[in-house]
Amino acid sequence: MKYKFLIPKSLCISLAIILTLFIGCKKNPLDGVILTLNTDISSVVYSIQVFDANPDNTITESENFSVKITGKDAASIFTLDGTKNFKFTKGFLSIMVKPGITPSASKPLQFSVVVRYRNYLKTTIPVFLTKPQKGMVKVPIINTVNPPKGVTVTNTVVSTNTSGALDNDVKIQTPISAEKKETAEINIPKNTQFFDASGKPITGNINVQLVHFDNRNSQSLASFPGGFTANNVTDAANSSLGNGLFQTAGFVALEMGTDNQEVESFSQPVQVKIGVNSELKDPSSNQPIQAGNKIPSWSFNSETAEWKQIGDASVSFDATTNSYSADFFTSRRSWYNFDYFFRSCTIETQVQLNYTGEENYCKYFIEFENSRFDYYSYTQPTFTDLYDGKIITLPWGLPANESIRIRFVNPYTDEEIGVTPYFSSCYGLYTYDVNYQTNNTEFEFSIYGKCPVNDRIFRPSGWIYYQAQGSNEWNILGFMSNGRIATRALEAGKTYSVGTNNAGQFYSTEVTMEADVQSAEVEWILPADYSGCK
Amino acid sequence: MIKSVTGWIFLLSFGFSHSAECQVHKTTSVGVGTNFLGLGGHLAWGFSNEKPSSVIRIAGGINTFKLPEQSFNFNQVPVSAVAEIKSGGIGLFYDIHPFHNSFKFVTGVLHSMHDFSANINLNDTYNIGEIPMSPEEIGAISASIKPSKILPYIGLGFGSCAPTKKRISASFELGTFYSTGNNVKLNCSGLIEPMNEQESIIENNISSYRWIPNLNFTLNFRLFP
Repeated sequence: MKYKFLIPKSLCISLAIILTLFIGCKKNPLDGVILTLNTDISSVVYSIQVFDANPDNTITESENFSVKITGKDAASIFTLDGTKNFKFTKGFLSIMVKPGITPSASKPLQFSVVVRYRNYLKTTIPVFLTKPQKGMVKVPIINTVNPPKGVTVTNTVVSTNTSGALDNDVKIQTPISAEKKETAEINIPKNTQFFDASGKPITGNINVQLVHFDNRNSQSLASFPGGFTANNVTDAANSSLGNGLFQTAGFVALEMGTDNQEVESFSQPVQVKIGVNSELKDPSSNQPIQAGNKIPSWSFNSETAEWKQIGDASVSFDATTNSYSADFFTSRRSWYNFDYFFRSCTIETQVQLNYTGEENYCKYFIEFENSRFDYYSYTQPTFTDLYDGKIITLPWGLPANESIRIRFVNPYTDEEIGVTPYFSSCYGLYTYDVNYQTNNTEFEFSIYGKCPVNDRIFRPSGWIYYQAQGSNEWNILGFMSNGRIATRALEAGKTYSVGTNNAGQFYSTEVTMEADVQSAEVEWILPADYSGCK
Repeated sequence: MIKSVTGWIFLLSFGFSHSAECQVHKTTSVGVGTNFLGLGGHLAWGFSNEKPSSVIRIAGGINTFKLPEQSFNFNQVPVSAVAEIKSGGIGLFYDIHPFHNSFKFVTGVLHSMHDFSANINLNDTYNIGEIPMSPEEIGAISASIKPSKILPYIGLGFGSCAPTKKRISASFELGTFYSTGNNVKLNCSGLIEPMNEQESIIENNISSYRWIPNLNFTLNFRLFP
């Protein structure tokens, strides 16, 4: 009887205790846990910054630039959100190689970024990758209305008759000024017809733009389309010349076409004549240029960044103007260049840093001992990280067995960090001891993008830029991996904007550096149509 | 779905197979038992000449099993979860029969080996723009939840753990362990590796999961006298 009473009563008490303890405690353990993705998915993240080659101009409409990726590996190139919607913002474009593809010396990746916009010369940016990298390149573009020093532009219209032929000889010439001593001209003979890529004649009014770059002026040299190193070069017999370096005697870009069609070829050869700097030395003799000398002439395919030798231009001297020029005849419209070509080293040249100091960033310049290559110093410096053991691989295309040295500077202040002694351009692995300290403390950003609908989080990997308060210029801060970047670039007490471009948008945040704060978390709300948010 | 499943899994994971009950007469017994999850055993010493009578038991048990795969949406992404429960431990328990009959209060402490683990994988490829990423490339969420190592215990029950009049007895017990905290370990792989930083969110979500129920039934065998 006692048991009959105790069992149900105790059971009730026990169950009541259990229920009291657990009812209301069932919160989903995953509440508030957010799908968070590291977007460091590619072996190559490459950022391209375009800027006006004339320092008096500022690019304000890069969002409207037309961008096209060309070349044999163009299909493997994507934006950082995995689309093909290539778009500059604030002058920056970030791209990546399709995940799973890793470039190597035996399987290099080759593509070009072709940029077009009204009042700017079409610009082709060749990219040649032989290893995984987080690359960055600054590319000057030519404003044809207000070009940089050493560059002149002529725009004209030629009219064809109903059969698409010229009724008269046409001469198109770039102007000469106090700062521009050479000129370039195109002479198109009467009855010439113009054909598009399919060989169809183009009739009516044809717009012609002739742009000449001299080899005297640093702004002109810095604007040299595609740069001086080349990796897609063929000789007149169509045989590959491999990688190399150009020494230019002058360059012209010829653009012709209507609003709908581009001229690709002519029915008969036209004369291309470029003024030659009298101070130019023939590298084979190291003597000043003379009448009768030959200068190799090249055409540049601005879609594929391929250089092709089209013959040799003959140097002549005009006693009336006391000037030299060289000319050749061609039936193909192109960008034409008078260049001496130097074969490059067959091995990669690298510099290993024995570095003492805090991890930081630097940018470096390659300088040649031989003054023949002085112009090379006008090329844009390379931005890279700086730490003990860092191995810097110099670009392909350096001329073989020349003495070079590397100058390292602080990328934010241009303060010199160090200069190596001269060593051979084909040295292999060169080791350099360097020490550098900054006064700035390290500051770490934790950055993420958040989807507005489902709260997914993306931790970006890409280049981060900064802009000091009051400045209009965005500079490189460094490479952010998995949404994190540490920097010593920013000074306490100052206010900066930090930003990045991703998938055609520029995201930025203003940060005031306080002496006792060493980190900041930055949230950027992504657009609802961001590919990863869908 | 995940809410209820996870909650019950969590509760069940702390089930522990040990025996309870007893009416006492200076005996030594062994017991085998079962609860929600599996089997366990104990060695018990009864003291029946005292009032109230009592039993001291050393009990242990262990069990592992997998729950059926569950599919659900996580941040609008279809995923599947497979959970595995490891329960068990070894402990010291004290049964007191206040009325000198079958009814008893139980207290004790358990050295816990409980571990609830789950692996969550994407069901399909996840597109980053035009680039399909396989579930393997995206990675998996691997989670482990463990209560504190030492778990105090209280309970109520019926029956003798150390039978006196007969060789065999049965006992029933209902009780609860108490965990002072739960340790969450996330080991996310691949591209979702940054999710490891969210351990504290889960720890906070389950901070109320302190009381771990126990319901078991045991058969007890008197060894001697």
